[in-house]
Amino acid sequence: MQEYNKLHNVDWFVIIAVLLFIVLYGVYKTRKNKTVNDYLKGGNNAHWWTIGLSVMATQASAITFLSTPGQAFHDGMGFVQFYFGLPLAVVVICLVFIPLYHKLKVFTAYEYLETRFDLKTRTLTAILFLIQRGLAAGITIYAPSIILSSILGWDLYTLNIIIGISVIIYTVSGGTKAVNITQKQQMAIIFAGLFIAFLIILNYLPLDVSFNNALELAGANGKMEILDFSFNLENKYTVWSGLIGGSFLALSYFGTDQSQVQRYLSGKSVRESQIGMIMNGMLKVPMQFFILLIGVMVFVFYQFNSSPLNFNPTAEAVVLQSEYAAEYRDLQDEKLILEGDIKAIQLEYARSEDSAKKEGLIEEIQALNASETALRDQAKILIKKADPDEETNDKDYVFMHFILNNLPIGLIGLLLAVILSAAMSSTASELNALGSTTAMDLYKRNRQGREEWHYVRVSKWFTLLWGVIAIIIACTAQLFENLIQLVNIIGSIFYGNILGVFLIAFFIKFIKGKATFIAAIINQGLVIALYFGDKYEYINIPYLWLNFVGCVTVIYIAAFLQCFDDLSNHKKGAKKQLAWTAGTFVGTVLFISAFLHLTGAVDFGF
Amino acid sequence: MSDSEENKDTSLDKFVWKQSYTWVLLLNAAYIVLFYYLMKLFS
Repeated sequence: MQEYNKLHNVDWFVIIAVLLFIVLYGVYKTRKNKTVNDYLKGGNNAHWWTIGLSVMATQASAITFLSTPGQAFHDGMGFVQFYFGLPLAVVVICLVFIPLYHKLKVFTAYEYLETRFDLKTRTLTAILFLIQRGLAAGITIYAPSIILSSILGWDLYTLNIIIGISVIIYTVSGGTKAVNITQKQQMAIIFAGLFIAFLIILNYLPLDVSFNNALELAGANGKMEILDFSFNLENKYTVWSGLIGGSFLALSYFGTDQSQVQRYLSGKSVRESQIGMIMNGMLKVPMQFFILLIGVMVFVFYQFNSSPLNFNPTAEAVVLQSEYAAEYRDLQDEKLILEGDIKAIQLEYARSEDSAKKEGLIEEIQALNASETALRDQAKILIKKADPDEETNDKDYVFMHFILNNLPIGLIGLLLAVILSAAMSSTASELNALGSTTAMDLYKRNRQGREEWHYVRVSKWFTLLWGVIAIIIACTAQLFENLIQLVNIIGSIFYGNILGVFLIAFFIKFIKGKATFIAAIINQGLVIALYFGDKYEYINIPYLWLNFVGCVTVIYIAAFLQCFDDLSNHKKGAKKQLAWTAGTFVGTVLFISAFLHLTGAVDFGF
Repeated sequence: MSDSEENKDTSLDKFVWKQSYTWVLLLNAAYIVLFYYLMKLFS
């Protein structure tokens, strides 16, 4: 295991300078905040570019920059399809969500639900959001900390506390405006860092391997399979899952998650907020493509340079200290020999101009690649034997390994600052949203009539409290197995229900508050039951689908409840409404069944 | 500026604005087409 824990002083200087600059700039620029509007909506002064960058910085966490290149390294560019639905969601949000939120001058998304339904529906959705986002905020800090501490030898708790406290200082002090303006600086650092890293990787390729050759090599190694038009549900990332599932997920995230809603609520006008979101819709796909392309270029780089069997240094250390060390070393030796063959054939492919010869070489490249993958899989088996709890999936470590082993002094510091900036920007939005929701939806709603400064102070205290909770979750996360997965599961369980409630509010006017509230409660129980049904193998429904199921079922439960209520009250047109609801329900069931049958997910026997 | 001219400008403004939604979708469709050609070219 290589020792990285002694960074050069120049790298330390870059990291500390960037972090200090962000914190001090955020505090200094927002020192004049006086009102709740200043604190929670940034005084409604944000221009479209601030909103656009802020929305992108909130979504792009440290894990985006650590994991995505590693994803491309192992599985190619296909992950970009996951974002294809985002522009569709952006259009819906610009046309429906933003004008309404601005018109009602709400501070949180859940406040709108009281206007449309009632207080209890607002409180329920706000609490569901707090549970889910509160846990996620802890993970946003923990996920990069565990990777950086494992690879750099830094203390996990110290890193959690440094990230957490840095964010708390400017978020508590300056609220939404501090989050927005620091995110502009953070995005500038992130883009600059990634662009420089990309140029350096290209520069490190052998002299006779051009960018075009590099893309050819990536293609020969199966990394340029960008689009998958198949209907197979087993393929996680396809054009269809991206367009349908992705738009669905983006609609929940951008339309109903306060950490995003708060970003565009700070806009100077409806127009500024809309253009900010459109900017996100235009830049998100190419940005993800670029990050994946960096991963693919890292892959090409390692075709000509030595790489470890497993990029997670802790996993390698574990196996090398176990009884399986000798077996592991044999695998390492085998890989060294293989690397020589791979390098030679890749160079031959890049230099060759004869297409027939290239065709033949592709087969050899694929065979060598398969041998390398087999060696990596054997290494994973040995790691698991040495320690069954050790993480063998090393995609989060690939890019960091490249940075630490290949970038020059100073740039290592810049790239680490990119990772830390991304962690801080996402956490800041989350704390800001958690503090606002607690202050406005739970506290102010029940204690009205106090002076303005009181609510500003309360908002600051709640933001601080959530910051401390996030640090505690980050510091205890190691104690729980698969905590990140747990957070995703909790997200899937709650997100669909919340989105369903919002879709009812926006689009299905005949459904009232009582029916929606009861439906949300029943549906939440139903979704939790489905999750446990799957867990204990009574049914088969992967948790990622709970989002979709939760959204559709809450809409239909609420619609039927409203119809029955209207029928019992002899309301005019109730029968017609019931017939329409039943007809749409049958149509939806038939459509989903046909889709599942056609995609081969379920065999109905016809 | 007369009322009718103002109304005309506003409706033109709205028309241009609505087009931007079309642009965001068209641009993303163009990305998919570009990815398709990149895939065909390098796979």
